[in-house]
Amino acid sequence: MFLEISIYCRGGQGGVTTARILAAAAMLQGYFSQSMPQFGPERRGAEVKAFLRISDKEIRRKCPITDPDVAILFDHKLRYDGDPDTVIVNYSSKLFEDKSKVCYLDATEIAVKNGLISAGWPILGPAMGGAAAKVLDLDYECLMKAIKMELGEKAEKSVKAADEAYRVVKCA
Amino acid sequence: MQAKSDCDGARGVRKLLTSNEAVAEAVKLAKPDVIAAYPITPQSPIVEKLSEMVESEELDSRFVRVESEHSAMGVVIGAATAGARVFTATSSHGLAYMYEMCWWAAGSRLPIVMALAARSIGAPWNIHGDHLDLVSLRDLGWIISVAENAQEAFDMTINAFLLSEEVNIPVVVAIDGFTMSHTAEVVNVRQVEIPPRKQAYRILPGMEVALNAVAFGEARMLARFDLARDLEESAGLIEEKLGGLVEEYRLEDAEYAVVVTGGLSGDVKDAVDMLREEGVKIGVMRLRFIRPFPKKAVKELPSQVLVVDRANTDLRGVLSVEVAACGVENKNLVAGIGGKYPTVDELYSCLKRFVDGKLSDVEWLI
Amino acid sequence: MRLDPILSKATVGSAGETGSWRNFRPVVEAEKCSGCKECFYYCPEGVIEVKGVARIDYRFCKGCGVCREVCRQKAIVMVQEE
Repeated sequence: MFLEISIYCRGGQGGVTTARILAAAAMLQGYFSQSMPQFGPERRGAEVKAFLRISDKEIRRKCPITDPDVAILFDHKLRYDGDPDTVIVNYSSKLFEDKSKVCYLDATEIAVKNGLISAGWPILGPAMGGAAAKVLDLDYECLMKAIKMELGEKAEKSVKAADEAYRVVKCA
Repeated sequence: MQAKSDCDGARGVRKLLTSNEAVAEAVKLAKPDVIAAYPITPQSPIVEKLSEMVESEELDSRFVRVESEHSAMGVVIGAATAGARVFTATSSHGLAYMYEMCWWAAGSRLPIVMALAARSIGAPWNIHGDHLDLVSLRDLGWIISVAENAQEAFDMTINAFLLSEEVNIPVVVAIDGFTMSHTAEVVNVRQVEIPPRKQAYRILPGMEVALNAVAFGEARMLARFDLARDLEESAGLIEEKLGGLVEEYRLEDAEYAVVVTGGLSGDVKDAVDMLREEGVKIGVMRLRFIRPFPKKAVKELPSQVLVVDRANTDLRGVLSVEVAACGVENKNLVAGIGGKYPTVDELYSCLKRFVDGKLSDVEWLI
Repeated sequence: MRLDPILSKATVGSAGETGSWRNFRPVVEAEKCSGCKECFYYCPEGVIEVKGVARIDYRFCKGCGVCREVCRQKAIVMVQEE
């Protein structure tokens, strides 16, 4: 098993942290994993990418992911690379009817409901991460443990948002 | 995916760490007396992590905040002279600014460990990874080790303290900027006990002695000769106890070999596996150290050699020139300068052309 | 590993008797000298000792005349060597 996943978000939405939490969850489940943010001019609101690899063997490559198996879109207006089989998208599946698997949830609503807002921007990472964990078939307990491990004392709201997202994400 | 039992895939010792964090964890185990550093991307998370450890009293070290990298190396030189175990870290322009003091560190034969998150040096401005800063250390008399992944960044940093204090030569541990420094991977964080500090001499208050006073005539040349000889001879200890100067991957029956160092080696190995599946007898020699340079291993390479470089000297890559200096003719691919990181597919097609005899003497993968 | 090129210990006269390099000899007029030690502090060779009055070690004094320049009592004169 070797999965390449790309996260597309905007600076400040928590995409980089999400990649790391999912990598930690996969590690706790016994896999090898790698999370790799892409850095450029750091700017709130600008398009940001983060890569995630999960494998049952040691992961050696460190090149950017150009054709992911799974694309996670924090905003349906963001562009993605290559031709992913699976798209996980915030809010609506309508734009992705050509994909074999499209999973969706209203991550913004979950974030706002749980008070995950920073400087006027909903932090979508926990909800998108929770949904992605479900779609990627990552274990719920491992996900919760990973969130607490990575966020420490600040984990509470994120745990709630991820929990809800894990339950409500739908695939078409 | 199948859940494996109780979410303890980490089994207590596996941690998800970037290479920066892995270096910091290893430094914590070495318990340095003095850490001095100035922040610079992409190295900063190493010393940020260490300063947090000092602040929380998890690590009993003196963290000296300095106003420049020149001073950071000055502080660790001073502390090491008095017998303190020391650590610093830098990158790119920081290393350039520190450069003069790096000569003093080596010439003074002081055990010092430095991490280098290898990054391009401007102009033009760039924050991403390559080995242009790393190769500027070649002529100083430092031992230069280059990690492939976060696990090795951890292991090499621990070994660097042992090695440096054994041979009285400063050691740098290089990790690739961003593709390693900021990439989190699964690391086995083993607990190790590092023996107490040892070094050839210490200078303490009250001692009537001058360090590095003017050395004319044969004195300066003797010091330089001793350093060069001891640096070469450190290869023995590295081969015997510290994992060796090179890693050989699928080289046993190889007719073609790719020489490479750093994180890119992992991508090259994946490309080599693709060619192996097609029946091509190709392997990888990964340089774990570039000082001392693994001359013996390089001389035993098969006749068809491709060197992949992330730093150039003229049109040729630096490692290509080093390999040629061992009497081994080679083709050269310069790649990944300033973070223009090749994909495995791109590497595969270059390797394929190399095997088919279609690669030019030197090519830049732009 | 040889440490001699790196570590050294200062000794008197390690560069030979540099007094022979001198063209002018500083001579202290003892009756004018106040023993203030100004010359002692300024002497680049460290060859002046002050015990009541300044005394110069001519084996190593190179005759630079700094002591004469700084002397507040004008108690030092430079005399040409033969």
